[in-house]
Amino acid sequence: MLVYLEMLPDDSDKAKLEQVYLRYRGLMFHAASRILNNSADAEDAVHQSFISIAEHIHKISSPVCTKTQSFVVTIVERKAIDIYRRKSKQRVIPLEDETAGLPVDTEAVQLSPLAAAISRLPARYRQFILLKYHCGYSNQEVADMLGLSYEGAHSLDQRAKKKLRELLEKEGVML
Amino acid sequence: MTITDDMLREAAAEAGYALARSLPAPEACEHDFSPRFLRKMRPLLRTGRPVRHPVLRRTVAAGLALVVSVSVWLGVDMDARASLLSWLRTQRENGIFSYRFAGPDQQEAVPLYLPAWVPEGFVEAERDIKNWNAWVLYTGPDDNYFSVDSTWIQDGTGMAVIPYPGQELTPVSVSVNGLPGDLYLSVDPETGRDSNNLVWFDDQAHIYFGIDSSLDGETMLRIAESVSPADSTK
Repeated sequence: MLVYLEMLPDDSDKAKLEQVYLRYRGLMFHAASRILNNSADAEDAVHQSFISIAEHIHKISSPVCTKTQSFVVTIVERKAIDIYRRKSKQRVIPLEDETAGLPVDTEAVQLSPLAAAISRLPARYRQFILLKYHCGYSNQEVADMLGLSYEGAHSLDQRAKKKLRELLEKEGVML
Repeated sequence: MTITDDMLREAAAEAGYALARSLPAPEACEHDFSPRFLRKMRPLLRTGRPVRHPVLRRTVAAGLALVVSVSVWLGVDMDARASLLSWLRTQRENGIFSYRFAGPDQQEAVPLYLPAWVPEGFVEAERDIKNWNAWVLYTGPDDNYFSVDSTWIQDGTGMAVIPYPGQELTPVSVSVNGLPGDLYLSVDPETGRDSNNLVWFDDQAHIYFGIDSSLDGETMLRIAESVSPADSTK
């Protein structure tokens, strides 16, 4: 067993992290495994994800909710892809990265055209949109989580919106 | 076509929900995380200063029975609370036992407590004294060890006992010189050695004590019964 005693400078943050860990670690491993197909690598992705989550735990108002669930899945998806790229010896990840992320079942849930387009975005773009516009993180905070510079995050914001417009125009959707 | 931030927020919420629905429910995703993962996670799951050095861990054997001549067994009680409400133990998901403490802020250093009796061949090996915790390690024959520590029970502090992957812990309520405590027994899956933990609580002194050890529970309880303020053991 592991036994440890904590001095709790912020009991609520610690409790939140623990709740998130207990609730979602298995799901995060599952999501990472779908990208990595390797148990040890998937666990590394989960661990790295919790480092990011711990650094930004203050923004999580409810540890157990759909929003938090999509947040942790988004983070672990990013970490898993990063590990996959490192193992594939891809040292440079362009902002135009078109790598697909975890598939989203857009049939089971009726989505608006814009939401459906977000779901179809390449992983990096989708991660940015979800972290900023759904989870409420700033460009700087998202940059930290995605391993970008502030300028890179700002640029990704613009590119993601452009990509969304392209997807919608291609389908003839007018907002 | 203009996509405003408000439009994005609304649509991103939908997309986030769809992403969550596209994966299995969290409760359906079980995985036995490796000891390596759990070791790496430990620093993240604690805030502030860790007290215990990594302890050897043990599984609870089925049908466990300990004969203790000097302590009283109070039975198994998964959620226990002291009458003075200075500590609360709860069992969380995946068998983790979490303790939450309540007590006055302490400005003085916690008193050092030492065992008056140690098993044959054991000597003090190390001390780590902090204002809020005093920890002493003893080592003995066959790489056996035990540590004794005393910690202030203060508001906002806590402790967690996490089982090895695939193992279950069952705290056994004990009494150490009339003070309530819990005994956890397990086996380190990597070494095959016992890894036991005993904690007991002194509500009046606002201190809780712990013994981590590779020794059996009966020996740990005997050590615990001899623990007293360091000055008194001279």
